[in-house]
Amino acid sequence: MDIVLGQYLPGNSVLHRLDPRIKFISLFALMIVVFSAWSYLALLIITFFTAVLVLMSRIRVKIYMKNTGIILGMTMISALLNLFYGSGKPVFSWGFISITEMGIQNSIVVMTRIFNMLILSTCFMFTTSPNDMTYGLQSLLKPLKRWGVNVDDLIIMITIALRFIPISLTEANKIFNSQKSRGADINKRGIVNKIALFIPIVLPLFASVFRRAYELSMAMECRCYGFKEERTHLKRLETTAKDIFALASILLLMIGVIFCNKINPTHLF
Amino acid sequence: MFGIDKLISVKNVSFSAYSEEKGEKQRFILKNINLEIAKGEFVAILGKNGSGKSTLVKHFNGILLPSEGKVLVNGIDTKDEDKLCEIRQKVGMVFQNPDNQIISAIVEEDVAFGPENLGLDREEIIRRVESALKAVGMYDLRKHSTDMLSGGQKQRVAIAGVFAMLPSCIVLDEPTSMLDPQGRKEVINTLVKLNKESGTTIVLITHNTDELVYADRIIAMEAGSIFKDTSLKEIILNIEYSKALGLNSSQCLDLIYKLKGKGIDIPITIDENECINNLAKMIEEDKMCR
Amino acid sequence: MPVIEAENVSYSYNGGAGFDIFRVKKMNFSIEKNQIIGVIGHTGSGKSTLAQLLNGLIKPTEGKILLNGKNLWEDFSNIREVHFKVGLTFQYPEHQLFKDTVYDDIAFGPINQGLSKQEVNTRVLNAAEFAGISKDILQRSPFDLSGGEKRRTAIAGIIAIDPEVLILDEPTSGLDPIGRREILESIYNYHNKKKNVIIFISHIMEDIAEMCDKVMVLDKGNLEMFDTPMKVFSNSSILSNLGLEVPQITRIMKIVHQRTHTSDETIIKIDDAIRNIIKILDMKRM
Repeated sequence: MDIVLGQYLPGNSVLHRLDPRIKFISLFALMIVVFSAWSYLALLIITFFTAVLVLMSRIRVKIYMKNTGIILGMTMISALLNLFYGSGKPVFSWGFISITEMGIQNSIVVMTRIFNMLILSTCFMFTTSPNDMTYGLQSLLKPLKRWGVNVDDLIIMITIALRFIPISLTEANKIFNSQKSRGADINKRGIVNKIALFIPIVLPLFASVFRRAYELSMAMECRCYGFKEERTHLKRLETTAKDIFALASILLLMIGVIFCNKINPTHLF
Repeated sequence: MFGIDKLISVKNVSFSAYSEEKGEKQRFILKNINLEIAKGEFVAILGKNGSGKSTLVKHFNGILLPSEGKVLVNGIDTKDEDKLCEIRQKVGMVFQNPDNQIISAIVEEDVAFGPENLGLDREEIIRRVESALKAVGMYDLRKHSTDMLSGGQKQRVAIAGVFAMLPSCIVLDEPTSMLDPQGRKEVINTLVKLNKESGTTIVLITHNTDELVYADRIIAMEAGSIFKDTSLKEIILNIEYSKALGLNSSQCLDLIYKLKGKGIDIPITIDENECINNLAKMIEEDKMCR
Repeated sequence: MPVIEAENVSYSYNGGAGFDIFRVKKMNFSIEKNQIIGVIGHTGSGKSTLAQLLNGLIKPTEGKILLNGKNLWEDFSNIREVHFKVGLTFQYPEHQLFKDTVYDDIAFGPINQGLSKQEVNTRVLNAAEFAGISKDILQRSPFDLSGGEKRRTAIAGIIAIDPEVLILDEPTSGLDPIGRREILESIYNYHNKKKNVIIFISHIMEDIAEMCDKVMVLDKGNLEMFDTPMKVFSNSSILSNLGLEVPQITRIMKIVHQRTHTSDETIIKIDDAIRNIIKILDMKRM
């Protein structure tokens, strides 16, 4: 079993190279835009915008579909249920089921929103490395220092977690296999048996995690962690022309959506 | 200032641990150790498991503090808490398991961890990371993920991480014991290079006889005390020592001892090439004698 | 009849992007009874995957593995039976210890086999003896032991299952020399008493040369060689292409022979080297 953490796909597209802070802000702004859009025209523009981003990420559409497929399918089904709610003139009725115009509108709006939101956040995950996310977060959270939050410690914690979660998962897998080799029965049913299986895996795993934590903290101390008030950083995030352009295009999209919502409300459809 | 070239001096150091739950009162792990390490030395520390060698080296940078006696690094007492950061910069430490000492998922960022902790300027950090990675031969892989590296490469990154703090001394606690032969060679060659080219003092804990070839000085420990502080030659000349110290037998040495047992006299060495030369010479001379 | 046979065994997984990544590629071999088989290869050569295939933890994507002539994945109703017949210790097996006492930890396997209390007791005591665990530590917590003792406890846990084939994945890595020697001796003695098949994965060529009857050389999932240590280590050029070495004694003797034009024999053990040198000296004296 090979465990992949996060969904970062290394690449060199414009999206990969954007400043992660700008990407965080953009994603947040896009979410607001997506959820405030209700006119068909606005939703169409947003979908077009999403499609452009997907193309710009230089990652095949198939991979997007593979990664979002299940969640997308599930939410689509729940969105379809919207069809049966809503008051107004029924377009179609059969027995107690009736589909109203408003129901259709609702489900189209909800489905498009969810679709865009999923694809946009997947695009963000695909093009932003865990490290970049950490730096972005670090930089954006800096103001919190004023209220006594130790952002540096928080970021080091995230960095360590990013490194050690995959290692611990591999370790858990190994321990699971070695107990299986000693005949631990993984097919037994019943809560008592399940717990009995749990102990031989969780106990050694804890022992191993604590051992690692102890050694790591010693190694960090040896490298003078925690002596100076302020850490400095090798990595510096740089905002360049393409980042400004990204923000500008999102602003433009926002204005467009507000405008479309005004001139093209759904009920005109 | 006294003894400027004495980098580390250990004076009458004892270290004891209490473990009350087992009914023990006080257990000495180190007993009255006296030791001086000079700048630029390559020192190997030997000893069986439980002989106290790891405990001893953890005193060199104040990770452990002596129960009795004192340890001076560049004349600074390791008990001086205000100077602890300075001491740890002077004496860097590398451990056995490479996975448990790498902090960042990217090579160059891991090497930068120490300099970042010191609060250095970004330009200075970049300079140090670059020169440290070049010194261990990992510069080309600086952007790589640390997870994708081999054991030997990971250990070299760990060495670079310490080297970027500009230490006078690097202490390594069995850095090769989890590596394959290839990784072992990489690490040892790196250490020899740092010692020769940058004059970095190296203190190496190891069990492998073939890694001792590069050491100027061998400190052998037994049951919490220094059993021998001598040259490699003296250790290997005495078959009892190498057995008592639990050294990994080198086949080269085994061969020589066994030949001696059969009455064939040949100089003792752990250097493979020297052994080959001696054997070939002996056979050739034998040919001449005939 | 061979104890274990591999027929065209491959193990691959989907590496994304539509192509498969092979860990083990079309391997064919058969292992006779009462042999110690060494497995050598670079990191990532497929050694650990092969071990898990033989132990039934993973299923070959192609081909089949036969144990005493029976296909692992067809003729055994429950793959657990295979785990009991082909015991496997992973690298750093002490990481699997979890019981309160050494005794209970060694008993974990036999209890899973459903043996009676008395049988379990015999198995545990025998296994502890084979692995060189003294009786007085049986009631101690495995977490209080030295590195070497922990390793031996873990190995005893597999021996207690009484497998027909025992696979040891780098059983000595990370141990100090004394611990290493003790483990190798225990394995050798166990093999001599039980006369079973032992598959010994290691990167210490000197140990492989001293202990094994035959050696498998793996590279990138391929079985490159499967022969006696003598044959394998006489091919030093092939080995070095695969990033592997020969034992130090082989290297020393080869160069000495070449320089003095005395012999072209491959020497893989110290004792053979001694005999060889004495022979050379004697021949010249005559």
